Amino acid sequence: MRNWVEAASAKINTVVEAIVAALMLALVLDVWLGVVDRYYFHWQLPWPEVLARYLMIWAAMLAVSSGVARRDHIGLTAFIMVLPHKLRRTVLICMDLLALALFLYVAWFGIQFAQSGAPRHAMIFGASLAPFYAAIPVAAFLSSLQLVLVLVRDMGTHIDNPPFSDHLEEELS
Amino acid sequence: MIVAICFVALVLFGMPIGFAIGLAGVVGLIDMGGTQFLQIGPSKIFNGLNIFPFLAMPFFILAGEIMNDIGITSRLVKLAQVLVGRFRGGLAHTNMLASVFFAGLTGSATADAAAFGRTLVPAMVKEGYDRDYACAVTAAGSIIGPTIPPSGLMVVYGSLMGVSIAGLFAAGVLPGLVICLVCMGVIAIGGKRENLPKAMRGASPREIWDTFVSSLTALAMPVIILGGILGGIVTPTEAASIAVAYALFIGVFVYRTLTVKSFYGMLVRTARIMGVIFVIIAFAGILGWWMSFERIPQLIAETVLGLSDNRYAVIAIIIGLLLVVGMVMDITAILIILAPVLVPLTEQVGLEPIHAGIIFVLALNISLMTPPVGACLFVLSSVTGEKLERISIKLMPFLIAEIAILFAFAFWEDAALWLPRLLGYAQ
Repeated sequence: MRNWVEAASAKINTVVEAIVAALMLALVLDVWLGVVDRYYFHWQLPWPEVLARYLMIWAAMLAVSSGVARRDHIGLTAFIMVLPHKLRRTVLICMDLLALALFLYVAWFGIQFAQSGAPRHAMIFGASLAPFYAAIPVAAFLSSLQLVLVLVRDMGTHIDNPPFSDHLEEELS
Repeated sequence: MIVAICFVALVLFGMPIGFAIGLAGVVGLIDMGGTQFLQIGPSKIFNGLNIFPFLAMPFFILAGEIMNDIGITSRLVKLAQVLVGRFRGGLAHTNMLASVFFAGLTGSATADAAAFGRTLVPAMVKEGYDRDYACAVTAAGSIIGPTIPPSGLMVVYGSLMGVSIAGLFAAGVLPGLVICLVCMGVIAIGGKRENLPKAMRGASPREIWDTFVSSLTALAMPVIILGGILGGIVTPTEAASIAVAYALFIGVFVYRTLTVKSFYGMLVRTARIMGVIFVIIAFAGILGWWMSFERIPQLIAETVLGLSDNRYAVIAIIIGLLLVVGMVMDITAILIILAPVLVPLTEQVGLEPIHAGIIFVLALNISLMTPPVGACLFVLSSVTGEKLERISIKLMPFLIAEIAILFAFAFWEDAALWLPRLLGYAQ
């Protein structure tokens, strides 16, 4: 069971990271276009700046679920490490459940929020705001899914045995 | 009160700080009016992120990632070494000066600490430095990164508080250089006590020139970024995007070390870092709305001013608070939570917005190296295997010196605002 959820979490994360990389690339190209337009072509395009903000929000919010999968989100560990091992595991499982509740809340009310964007228009070729607002519920749903998977994968042991303890080495290499 | 208790309890029990902020915000919404305010949460999250100046952050991170990846590190370190390696404790001085060169590329203290922890610390140990001392020097120098622009923290502060990011960048230059010089002084003074290795052979003028020329491509980066922004030619976001283009050009056409695969990894890492920072900003949107609804910033301002309305006393209280909270909390989270609460105080005592901003940034940067959860200490301890408490002890003289610099710039407005005034960002 644990192996299965670990593999599922990693696979979902790989797909999410590929999308995030594509969004980041689009963001880079979009901002470059804005700079070239402002200083060279003078087309005065109104949409690169707006699109850049929405691409940034989509990329960063999707990356939140990647951080959940890799336990990258920063927390204080000094106090929890003082607790006895069993109690520590129980508390950390409860923290995961509370975080799950938070993301489910955002996903649930986020759907209404995304729908509220449908009749409103962005400054990008008159497109509806709904696809941009949808970043919030989609990212929250993905984070919820990852939280369920990593909860089963780690069962409160992630501070004692960090699942990506080699990640710092990897980041630096 | 229940919101504060909830937040503190969640943080103590190991919940990631961004999530704890979110849950505390939701508790605040429920406390205000049952379930009727819950639906505004997602819009507060979205609006909290939908700020154009934030765009500079991913670009500065990406530019730093590329420059690190393509081998700029070794060239800059070599340049620093030929310049100051001849003194006693030459590699310690090199470490400090290289931090200044690096500051113009990355803007992140933890990135600097990680890179130097992998390269300079082993080199220092090999030359006879104690590992804890080598780590302490690296930690002390790492905070120069986010002090000298570009600085992610300044981008967040400027975006949230409506202060000129270019003005903050200008204000960071002098304190960053002073930190470098004073820390080099601390190294020199403690040289004999720490039994630092004696001077290496001094580099010849020809060697210095050759190294300088081979580092020019790296040194041009801060010139592009700072020259463009401080000269008022481009916005910070545009400068950051140009820096990315420049770094890519160097990586592909000059050094020819950048591959599609490595670039993909950089894009993902940049987004991951953004995700970690943005989740804090996003959920702070809910908590921030609740705080302003409940008039928390005004209440805190009134309470502090009730204690004293003396300008220096208020500044000291703010610095003390930031340093203490910074000992146990992530600095971006502190900035997002406390800046809206404390900045009204600085306005009440007549502090210039850029001056207040640089005080915040300096204090929070210093807290990156205060135990128990200083991020730079943690990174260095992870990378080098040195015990955190041993690094902390050796760090003490540097910490005292940097806090003294913080107070000097906090109390001496003319020094803090010298460059911003010169460039027309402050009055």
